[in-house]
Amino acid sequence: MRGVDRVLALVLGLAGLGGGVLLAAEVVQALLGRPGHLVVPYEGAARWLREQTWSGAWVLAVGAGLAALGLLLLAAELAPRRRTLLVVATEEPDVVTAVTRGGVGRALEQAVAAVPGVDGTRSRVGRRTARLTVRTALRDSTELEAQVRERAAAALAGLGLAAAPALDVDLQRVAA
Amino acid sequence: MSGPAALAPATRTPGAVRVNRVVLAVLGAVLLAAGVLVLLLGLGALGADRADRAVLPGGGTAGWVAPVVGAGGLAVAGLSAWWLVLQARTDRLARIRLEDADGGRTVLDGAALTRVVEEEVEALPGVARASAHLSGTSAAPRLHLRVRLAGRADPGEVHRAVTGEVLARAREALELDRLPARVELDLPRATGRPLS
Repeated sequence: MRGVDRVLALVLGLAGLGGGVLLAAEVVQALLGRPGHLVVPYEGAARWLREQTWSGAWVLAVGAGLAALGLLLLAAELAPRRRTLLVVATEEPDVVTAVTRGGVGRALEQAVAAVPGVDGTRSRVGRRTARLTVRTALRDSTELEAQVRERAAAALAGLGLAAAPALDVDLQRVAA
Repeated sequence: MSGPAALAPATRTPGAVRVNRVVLAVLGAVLLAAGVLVLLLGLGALGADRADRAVLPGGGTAGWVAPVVGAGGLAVAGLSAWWLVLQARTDRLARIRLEDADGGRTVLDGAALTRVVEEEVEALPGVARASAHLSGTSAAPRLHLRVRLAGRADPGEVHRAVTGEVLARAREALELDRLPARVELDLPRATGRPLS
């Protein structure tokens, strides 16, 4: 959202700066009693607005669009920001170390990739749960599941997170 | 363990991030209010006769309208300029002034220090890349460190090495008792599957 906010700030900032100055210039032009426009040919739009009533379909559509856009923007800005870093427990009061959630997932995947029988891995780490999906072609996978669970749990414990997410191992059988 | 268990990524421009959020939220509220007002007018909730009036009344406007609109335009332009300038303001500390006991003054280039920190961290086993910067003030600087680990590194080990050796040397260089630091570790996707 930060990146989107930044782009919106630049676009709307430039539009506000340019639009505000042009609006003031047009007002001065009109106040000086000169006919016509300075830069923006607004006469057509003004004529159209004089012909429209508030109950017109186009006006209602524009109103609905504005309300929807405003609601969307407001909701997006008020939503809490994603905390994508998990803090590592430390004794040092002055140092905060954190691991990216993607990094935690990759550490789990690396820990089990070498287990015989594992054909592929996928991970999804949240603040409360870390889900590790393992694909295997083995028919009897009870032993594999125990091994994967053990290695992944060890890798997660090795990160030493202050509040480690609960590990959730999911085995997916694929055709050999 | 005090403090939060999860954090949002650090940013170079914390002020701009906060202001953007507030300004865009206010803008969203204004758009929402304007849209709802148009709908209420159009649907006749504010009187059936108003719904049938023209959006822009014909004939001339009162004498005070044009100057007010012009002043509003200038105000919008000014606020937009302030908003744009704010985007470039970072919390980075470029220089650090060290006061000696005998009244002498040394100015330390922040980039020189962070470069040394980066090199020291990159020399640690298991580290692929490191980037560092300083924020805060000369009297109370803060160090931000982003570390990309190599395939099979132990994040705990790297954390211990960074907090133990690297930060101790940085504190020494800055002649500080405390140097609060924030370290962000990232583990890359391993290239290729390890054979076993």
